Amino acid sequence: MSRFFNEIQYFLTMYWNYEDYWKLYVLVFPIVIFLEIPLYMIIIVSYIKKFWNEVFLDKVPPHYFPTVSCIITCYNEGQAIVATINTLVEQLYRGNIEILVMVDGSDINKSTYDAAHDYATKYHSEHKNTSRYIQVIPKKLRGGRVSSNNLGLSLAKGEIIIIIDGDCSVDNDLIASAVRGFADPNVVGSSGNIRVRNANKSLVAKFQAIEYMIGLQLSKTGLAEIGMLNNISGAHGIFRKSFVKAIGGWKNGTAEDLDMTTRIKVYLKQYPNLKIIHSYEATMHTDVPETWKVLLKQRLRWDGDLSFLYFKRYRKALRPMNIGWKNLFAIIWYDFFFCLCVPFLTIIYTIWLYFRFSPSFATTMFILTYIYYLFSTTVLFALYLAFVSERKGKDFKFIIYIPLMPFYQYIMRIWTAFATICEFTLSTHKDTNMAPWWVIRKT
Amino acid sequence: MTISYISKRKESTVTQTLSEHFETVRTFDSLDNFIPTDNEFNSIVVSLEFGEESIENFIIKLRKSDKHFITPLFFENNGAFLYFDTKITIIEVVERTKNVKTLYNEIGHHNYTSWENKILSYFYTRPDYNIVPKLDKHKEMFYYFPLVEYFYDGQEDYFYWLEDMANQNIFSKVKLVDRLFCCPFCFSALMKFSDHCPSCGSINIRNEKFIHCFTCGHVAPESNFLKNERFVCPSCKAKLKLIGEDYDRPLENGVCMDCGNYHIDSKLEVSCLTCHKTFTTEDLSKKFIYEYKLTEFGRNQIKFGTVSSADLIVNALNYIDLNYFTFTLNWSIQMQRRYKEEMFSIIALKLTLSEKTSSYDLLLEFSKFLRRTFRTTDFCSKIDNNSFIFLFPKTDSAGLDVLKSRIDDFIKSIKLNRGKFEVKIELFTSTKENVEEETAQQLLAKLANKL
Repeated sequence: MSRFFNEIQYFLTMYWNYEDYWKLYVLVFPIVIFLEIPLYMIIIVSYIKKFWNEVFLDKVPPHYFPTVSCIITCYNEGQAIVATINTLVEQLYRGNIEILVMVDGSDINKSTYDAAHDYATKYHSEHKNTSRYIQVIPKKLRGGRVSSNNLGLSLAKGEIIIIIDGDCSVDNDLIASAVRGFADPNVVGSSGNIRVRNANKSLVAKFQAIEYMIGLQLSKTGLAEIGMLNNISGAHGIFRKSFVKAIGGWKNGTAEDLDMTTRIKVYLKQYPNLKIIHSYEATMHTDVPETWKVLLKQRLRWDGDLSFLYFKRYRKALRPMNIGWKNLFAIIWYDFFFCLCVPFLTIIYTIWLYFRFSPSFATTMFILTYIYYLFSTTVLFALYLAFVSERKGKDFKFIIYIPLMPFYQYIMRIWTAFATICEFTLSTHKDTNMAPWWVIRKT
Repeated sequence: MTISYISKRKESTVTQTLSEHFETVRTFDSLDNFIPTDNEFNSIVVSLEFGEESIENFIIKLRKSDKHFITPLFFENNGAFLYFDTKITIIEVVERTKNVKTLYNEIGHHNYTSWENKILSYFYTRPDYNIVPKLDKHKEMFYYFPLVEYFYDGQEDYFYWLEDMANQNIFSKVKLVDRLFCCPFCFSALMKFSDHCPSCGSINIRNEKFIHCFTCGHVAPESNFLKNERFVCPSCKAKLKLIGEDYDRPLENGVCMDCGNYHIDSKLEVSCLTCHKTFTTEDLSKKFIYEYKLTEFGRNQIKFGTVSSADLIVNALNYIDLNYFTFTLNWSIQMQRRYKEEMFSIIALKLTLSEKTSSYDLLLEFSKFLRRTFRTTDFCSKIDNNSFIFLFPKTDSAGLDVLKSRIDDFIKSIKLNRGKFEVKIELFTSTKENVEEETAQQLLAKLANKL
């Protein structure tokens, strides 16, 4: 055993003495060199650009306060729906807000419907001449999230629509922040910031909180800056109603958000002046799985969805003439390589290391990989804290969990590979609770 | 029977019809020219052509007069007879006149010096009438009794008199029509409500939603937190974004624009528009507006002329007949003779109301006071119309002194407010010795004489 550790020590010190050590870097970090570092560089550069613009270009906040319709898609949230509606009523936005509470399967989810309905009745009886209008729509038979979104779309009176999950709460400046970008008439869609509300519940939730900060908020802000936004989340999306109506609303099936984003990108190719942005200040708070079991089940579905979309549904659409070289490059690079290939590469690389080299050398490689990921995560987290976080004090406390993040990321990558295999073999995208089976089987 | 017909038309079919059913028909061409009959019972038919106001004035004049307060009054419109708003035939006119006359003759006395006596007789002769209140936004109480107002002389609030009559069981309360909040000083329901700053009394206050910052605990109106369309805590500069996590709204408070005071409840003040006094809502009196009807007991009382306002006192307490009172007193005397500790006390009380017309509210107040002060085991009886006797079992001279001082205080307070109220009191406390030779009759006579 002591020989094992001695060898590790030897390999580690060898790096710094060996003249051709860069070759070993290439050997150890092929994934890193070709895929990750450029991405991080792009994000960092885009941040420099973004904040240069914000600091040195004198931007006057637009005087733009259109009516906003918030479509809350809810199912069996029960009394929790009240908190969601309440945070929307609390908005400090100057314009009118229409809150459409779509209760899916209101016959079986009576408690949700009753809670929302009671709140709306009470609110309107206490507040006359208010600029907030709550309407609770009972969808008697369950139709899934897409049907809720599309019904909300047809009922909405606002110029801008915001899709919000029923079990979320939103910051009181969400709408004001979300609408700001839409003052540019060319903006047709925007993703928003999603924060983890229950981070203090478990370690898994804390990992996800950090993942949301870096993986979603930070990278989306950077990607959107260079026009390569990967997805407008279904839990929190902001759209120009006229545009969504023109492209025919949402399509049935799982991962309707990714589907919508991809379709928008197809339109962006035809109408190059249109754009999608990321409103990093429009913050929504959501609960994430608190146990490994629930988390892995959720990711099995999400990752499966991704491969389903790119390999099955949009196999033909994903061509440069349809979505443009830049977006195709972004999809291939970020979604295809980064999200789908890297997990497999990680597994292959791990196996190769252990079979090709001695266990001590393989372990050394892992230690080095860990150090690299710790470094990159720390840098990204620092970047996030410095430029993006709007709750710096609160987010800073997560720093003690950063050393554990590489392990979490490793587990998640392995799981993504497993999820992709499952999708190809079992079509797991159909195993969703977003819509009933009679809707999913058609997709 | 005589009937008077007042119409601008000299010759009409109405006169013809009336003369067919009445022995004498007197005609007048104007309401002002109407001359009352001397003794003979008379009824009157007034043509509606004179207009509502003139007729109203005529009725008031009629009911206030000594001769025609009881007179049945009918109206005539284009040859048709009306009783209030209902069309009736000439036969009914005759019958109604006869009825009123018969009932009027039943009343044994004809002492009509006060308006109360007049109106009681009036209702006696109209057994089908209820005393119905009518809503009028210009009245102090919002309600008035039109029939009573025809009679009443305007010197005293007749609502007390109605209450008094109901307490005496002369009238019964048929229906509760309304409950009103009114001024505790003048009982007017015309009041103005306004909320004020509890600190400086200013009316320049407004309600503001308050925000509670979770970071530092600062609580202040929402406007203090609002900065560039965001909530920023003025104390700790924390950005408050998510309700329930960063901040909450603990309450909606009042803020005074003059002195800056924050308050949960503003001070609600009531100003009486009639007496211009100011008070709080807790001081408000509650007034019940009833519809009344003459009772059978009341009818008998009117018939024999025994209605008296002083009965209000006895109604307030355990009133027993004087004979029974004497019997109880005798029994108490015997108990005292046998057991030393079985003492009792007596208060004899004589009320002198220097001006009768202002008596009802005073009596009502006095009766309420007695009810508050005396115990349910005490007895009361009446020596004569103005003198009362109270028996307090198991009460010694110390207890009696307490009662006496309370009565004195009450009289003093009521005199300060209103005057015109004299009360003479005699006290007696039994001992084994002073009842040794005495009978109840002798004791009562002695006390009555002292009064």
